[in-house]
Amino acid sequence: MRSSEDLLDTIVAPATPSGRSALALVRISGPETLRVLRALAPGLVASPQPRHPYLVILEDAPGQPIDESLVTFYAGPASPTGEDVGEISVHGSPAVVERLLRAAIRAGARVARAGEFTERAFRLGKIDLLRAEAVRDLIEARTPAAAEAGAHRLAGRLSDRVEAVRQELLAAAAGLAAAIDFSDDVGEEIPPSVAAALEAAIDWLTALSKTYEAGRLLADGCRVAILGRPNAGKSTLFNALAGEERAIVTDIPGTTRDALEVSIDIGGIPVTLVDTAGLRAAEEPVEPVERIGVERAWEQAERSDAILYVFDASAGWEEEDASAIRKWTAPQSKFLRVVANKIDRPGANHPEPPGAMRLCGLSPDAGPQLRASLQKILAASIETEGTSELLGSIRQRDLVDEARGAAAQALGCLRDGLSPEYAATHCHAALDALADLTGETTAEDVLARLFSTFCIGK
Amino acid sequence: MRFEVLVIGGGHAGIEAAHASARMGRRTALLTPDRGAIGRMSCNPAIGGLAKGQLVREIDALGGLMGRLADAAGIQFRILNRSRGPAVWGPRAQCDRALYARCARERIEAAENLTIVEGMAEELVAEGGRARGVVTGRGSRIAADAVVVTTGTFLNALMHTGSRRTEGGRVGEAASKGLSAALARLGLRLSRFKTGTPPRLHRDTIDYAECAPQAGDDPPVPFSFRTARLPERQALCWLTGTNPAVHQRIRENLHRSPMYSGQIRGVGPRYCPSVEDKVVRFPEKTQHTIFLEPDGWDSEEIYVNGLSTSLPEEIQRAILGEIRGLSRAHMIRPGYAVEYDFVFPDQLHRTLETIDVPGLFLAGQINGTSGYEEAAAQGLCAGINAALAVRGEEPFLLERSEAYAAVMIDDLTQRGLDEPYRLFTSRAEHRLLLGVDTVLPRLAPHGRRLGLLDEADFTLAMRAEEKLERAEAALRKRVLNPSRDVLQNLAGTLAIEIDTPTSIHKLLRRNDLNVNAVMDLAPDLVGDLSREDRSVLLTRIRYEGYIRRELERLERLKPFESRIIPTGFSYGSIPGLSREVVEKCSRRRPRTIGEAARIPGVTPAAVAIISAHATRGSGASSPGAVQRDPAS
Repeated sequence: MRSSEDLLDTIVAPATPSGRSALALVRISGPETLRVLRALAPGLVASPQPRHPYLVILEDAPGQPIDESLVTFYAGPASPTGEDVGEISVHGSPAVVERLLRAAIRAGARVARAGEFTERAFRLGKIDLLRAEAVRDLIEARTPAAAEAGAHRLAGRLSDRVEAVRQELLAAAAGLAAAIDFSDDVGEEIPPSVAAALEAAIDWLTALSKTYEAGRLLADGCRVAILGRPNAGKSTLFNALAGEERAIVTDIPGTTRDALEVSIDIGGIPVTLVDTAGLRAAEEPVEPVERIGVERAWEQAERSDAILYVFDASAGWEEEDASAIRKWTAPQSKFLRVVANKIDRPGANHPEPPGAMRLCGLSPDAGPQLRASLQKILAASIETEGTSELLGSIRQRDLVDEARGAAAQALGCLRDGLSPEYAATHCHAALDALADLTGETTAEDVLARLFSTFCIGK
Repeated sequence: MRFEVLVIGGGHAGIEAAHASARMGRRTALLTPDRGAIGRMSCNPAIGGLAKGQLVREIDALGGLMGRLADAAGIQFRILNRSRGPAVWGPRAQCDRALYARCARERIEAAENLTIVEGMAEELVAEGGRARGVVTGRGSRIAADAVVVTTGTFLNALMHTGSRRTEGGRVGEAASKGLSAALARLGLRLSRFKTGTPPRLHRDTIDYAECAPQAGDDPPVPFSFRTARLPERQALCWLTGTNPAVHQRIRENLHRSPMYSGQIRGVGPRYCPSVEDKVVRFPEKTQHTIFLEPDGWDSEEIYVNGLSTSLPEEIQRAILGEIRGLSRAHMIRPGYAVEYDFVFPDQLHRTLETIDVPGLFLAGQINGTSGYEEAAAQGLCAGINAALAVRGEEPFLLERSEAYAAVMIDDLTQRGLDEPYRLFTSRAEHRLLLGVDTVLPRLAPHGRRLGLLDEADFTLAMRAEEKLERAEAALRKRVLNPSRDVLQNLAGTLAIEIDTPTSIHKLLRRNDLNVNAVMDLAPDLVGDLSREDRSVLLTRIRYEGYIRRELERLERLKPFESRIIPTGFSYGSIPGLSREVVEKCSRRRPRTIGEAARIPGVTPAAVAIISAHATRGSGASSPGAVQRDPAS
């Protein structure tokens, strides 16, 4: 966590990107917000009604108007950051925004660091950690589907999901507490609801943990490298997928020397597509530059999540091709798709490896065909069991796994007939892990659950 | 009259406070309206139970009274949760109410340095912001360097039965009226709680054939390490229960219960509900258990545990008429509810001294707790700290990982409360370290250091632990060889045979083992251990890993708990703290980062900020804290 020395001052920043647009939004947060607002807009009433927009003239000196603007004041803690917040909506000119920022700084505000508004909201307890992370994910989302996953987390749907698990664990903890602390009253037997709640929690957590791979793909995207021997038509496929002429295509083998990248959206997943130099066997004589290109191609293969392996169908599937793809099928398999290119050429009827996709890279169908194929591969990897809430970071996944492990140990204790105080320690460890994910769980939560569930009291 | 420590009230908190202070050599006075009421049990005639029994053992290990009084007055002894680990055992004793009070009074009267003063405190004397003594109802002034208020449920107490209201904290005993106002004048925030008590029946009018008997343990196990033996003779309790007809009658008459008519505004405990509450809140239950508890060997009264109510007397009679075994029972006294003032305990330091009025200590039900044991443990800690404070000595503070009493006091003072507080083992995050088996090594050294235990007592207290450790070491050393004789011997015991020389200690970790059988293999090693000690030993061996993990967790939390926040630390000047956090921390004045973290509303982020600014971290805050390592 960043040092807190400079918190509690008042920060300002444009909330919309720089450049010309119809409107631009500038936000202010901190204890001096109202003073800054009134310095910028002398016409603003002394105590503006919170959440109510005021039409005012902004000035950077008396009689020096900047723009006509809508100003909205939010009184903390009922504000986006928990502090006093001002939102100034101006016309979307970079010059206007810049003058406004300078005026705000003169009035005592400081330009906010990246993410500082969200950081304050988290620190003041406005949002939990999951939502704070979601803000980042949403802003950084590169495709609509990634944005959607971030938005779900921000809307608290992941938090809700975690809360549902927490409720199951609380129910288990409460059942154990009743059997321990009120055994003279409700009996020593551990209610069957405890094991049921633990099983439910484990199921939820298992499903949630599995969403991480999908969440990671959506957030960070995936790399797809196109590989193959020289002149197999890799760059042609690259261009077909990119939908533009990015790579130079010639008939001369070895035209592509360095890896070339382009970002594309495939079924909502941000994909970095990489074109590579053709693979040549180590003993083949090549000039030094191309040699480096070949080395880089192997590196790209290593770094990528999926590989499109292209071969020239008219030249046939060679031993070199077979040995190349073996590298990626075992022991750690990557997503691999073999493409038989140039099927329009004469002689394209050699034996092919099973499951190869046949196409002609130059035909207008090639792009859509490849996209559909890639989408199928990637979609399978983000398929999650009926959940739209995806874990977005390894931190989240680790905590979910920790909670799941602890819940499983608690269940194990019960099944082995151990005294319930031991199951309880695991149950609390699971709750602690979830608390690290979102917030706090106290003994009081367990007791509240206990008293609402069990009739206690001699 | 002038004393070093003045204790107001002679209940369970008051006698522990006065006894501890006097035992520590301070000139001590105990002010009570009636010396005959010293140590009186207001509610059920029992000491201990789940979590509460642990408190009694802790009080005893520190040198307090309660365990010895319960042993002397007990008529039936049981360990609740006996089938479980010692971390959650709950020793409990049914007591002879009159005998208990008599024993308490004798102890107090016999104590050196302790003067009993009869009278009612009406005004607190404060000079220069410090507590300096009290003025009694008769106008006499008692001066003291520290005042410990332990007035229980007597502050502005009001008893309700149906619509009938009577002033007083216990039947036949007057309420304390001046003191509430005096506390409020000193700036303390007070509010009202409610508690209830069930009807009392004549023992000869109950049809026991209709009830199920509940016997004590054989042999009975005492609370106190100083009690060598308990008498064999034990009383029986009896079980019966409510039924749908009873529930129906309660529902029909709810409007006549002061809890539901709005006559009582105080908040009652969720864990000790009136029978009205049980019927309303759990409509699906067709029966609630009722425990018939004798009031003593010679008493005619039976306490009807589980039937706390404030319904009008005639309805109580009608309800009893519908209960199995009680249809012809004669009601000696109806149940009633008591409303009383309490002081919000978040205005206290962990020493139980009020933050704003130095020298003024509060302990027991005045702090919003319920139960004799909670009161006694607070009384002991307040008495010790008052005695230390008047001589300017370092306070006596236990950590949450050291004692249930510390969990309670920390909860009360750091978290505050909104309903009457009762201790549960579930409130302790380090429960596995707080077993009754470790209470003596955990706390007796403190008792010795404070002068509450003399050398002979201390040696006796530590002997039990030494015995256990010796036995464990011996089991580790005794190895069984897989010879034919041994295997034959073990054939009926082990599901899987041993094939290498194996220590009995290691064998005891196996689930397939019948404990007693292996104990039989080495009777010379464990023969002198009691049933409880054998059970403790087995738990320690089998769950060693759990204890070790718990100790590791504690080790990780330690920097947090020992990180001192300087006194006079200014929260308002720290950037980044919300108004709520600033306000709460400024009022509470947490001593450590750990304490700050437990204040409700103080977020983990706020803790990180406070921690960064309170740079003056130093060593452990609890002098002489002892951590036993059972693995060693």
